[in-house]
Amino acid sequence: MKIKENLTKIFDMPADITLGDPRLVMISNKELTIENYKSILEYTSNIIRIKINDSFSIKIDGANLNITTITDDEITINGIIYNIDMNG
Amino acid sequence: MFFMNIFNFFRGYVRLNIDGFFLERFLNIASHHNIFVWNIKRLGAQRISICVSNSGFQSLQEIADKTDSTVSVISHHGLHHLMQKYRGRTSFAIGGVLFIIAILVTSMFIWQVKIDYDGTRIPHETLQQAAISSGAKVGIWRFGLQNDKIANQIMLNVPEVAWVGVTIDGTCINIQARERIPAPLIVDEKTCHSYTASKPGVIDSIVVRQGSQLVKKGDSVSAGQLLVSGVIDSPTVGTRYVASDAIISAHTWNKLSAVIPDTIEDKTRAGGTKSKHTLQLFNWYIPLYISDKVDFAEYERDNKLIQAHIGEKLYLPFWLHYDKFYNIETTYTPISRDESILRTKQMLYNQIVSSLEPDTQITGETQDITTTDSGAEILNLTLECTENIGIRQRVDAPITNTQTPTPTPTQ
Repeated sequence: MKIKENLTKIFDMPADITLGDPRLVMISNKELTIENYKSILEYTSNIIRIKINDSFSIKIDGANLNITTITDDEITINGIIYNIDMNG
Repeated sequence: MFFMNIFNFFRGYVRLNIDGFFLERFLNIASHHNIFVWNIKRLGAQRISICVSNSGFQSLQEIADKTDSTVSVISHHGLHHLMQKYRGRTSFAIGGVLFIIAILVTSMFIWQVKIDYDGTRIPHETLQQAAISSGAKVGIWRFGLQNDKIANQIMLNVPEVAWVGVTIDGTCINIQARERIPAPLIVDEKTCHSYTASKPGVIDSIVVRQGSQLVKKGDSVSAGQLLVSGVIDSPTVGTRYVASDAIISAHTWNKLSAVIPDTIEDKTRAGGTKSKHTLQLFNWYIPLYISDKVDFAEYERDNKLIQAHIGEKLYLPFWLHYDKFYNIETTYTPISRDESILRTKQMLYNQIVSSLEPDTQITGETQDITTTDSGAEILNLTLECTENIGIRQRVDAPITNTQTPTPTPTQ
């Protein structure tokens, strides 16, 4: 794993592709797309918690939160997003 | 999302409610089984609603069992579901298809010719006739039309037109026509002309540039009297024929009379109506009334032609000839003598003014009232004007001198 990380750094390659690190794309405070996630930990209309890997999860606070699409490696959330906690 | 919705519509999908305590787990398992789920909404503490494709729906029951959840179908969507739903309505579907074919076929022909002309000199009927003769007519095959050819043909047929633009929009031909500015009147200097009086009056001024002046300022002239002659008799040169040129201004009195009425006529709708509408399909006329007879002694008619169209461009070969008759009642209301005189005077004044040339100056007006043997009162209105009374008239004689002599103004 260390070798992969080093190679990624040396060759300046995107970590989300080579290492499978999460990639978050946010459009305004209305839509958030997370790639390379593991699973949904919690889903209510105000809070969504997403597990990224064994030691890292994301907590999204907001209002009227809906999951627009969900696939094996990508999830899109829309609604009004107030806060994203990276250690949620 | 729009394209995804279209794709899902053709593929077919189901909206479901999932009830249970482990809804997150349900979603995780579904996504790990590559079941595409979208539009997930939280409806309550133990309920979510999701959309899933028809094929994915088959696999969901197993996941629901694993997560101890209940799946309930809310609605089916998509093309396949619609076709299933309307499978029994064959005649409706055939009718719909026939309707679409009929619209497609009729849209291949021209069903409306619009003429946009803002001038005054060319009657609308003339332009309409020119359009028809150039090929722009109702019922013609749309794809064989050549805009330039139609425009050129209309310009050839109507010389007063300076520019024509033809565009075809849907089943409608739009013809824009602009009229030519008329060329200034060219005075014919090569034929013998004289001036006569158009109406009786007293000469106010006369300016003769060519010709033999026969009257002078202050002379009283009658209608048709020769004022300036193109035939010049001279003891030294003999008889010469010239194109006379003169401006003759005179005082004229334009008089009109009318009976002063005691009452005014008023026509009002009395309440009854009769409709004689007709529906036209291509060249078939279908009357939408039973009796052709209009029972009213006096009526007001309101008729117009309404054509069916879809949007602004797709006109169809269906017309409604709207024709409605309103029963009219005439009442006579007495009015005061002063008001009657005022109305009659205004009417006479307007009539006289409309008969005058545009450059005529009104210098005064007089009115008097006379009574006939039967007792009716007559208002006589006279407008005193200053106007050009000379009419140039051709004299049938060979011209012998076209040189323009020095103008000889006479006051």
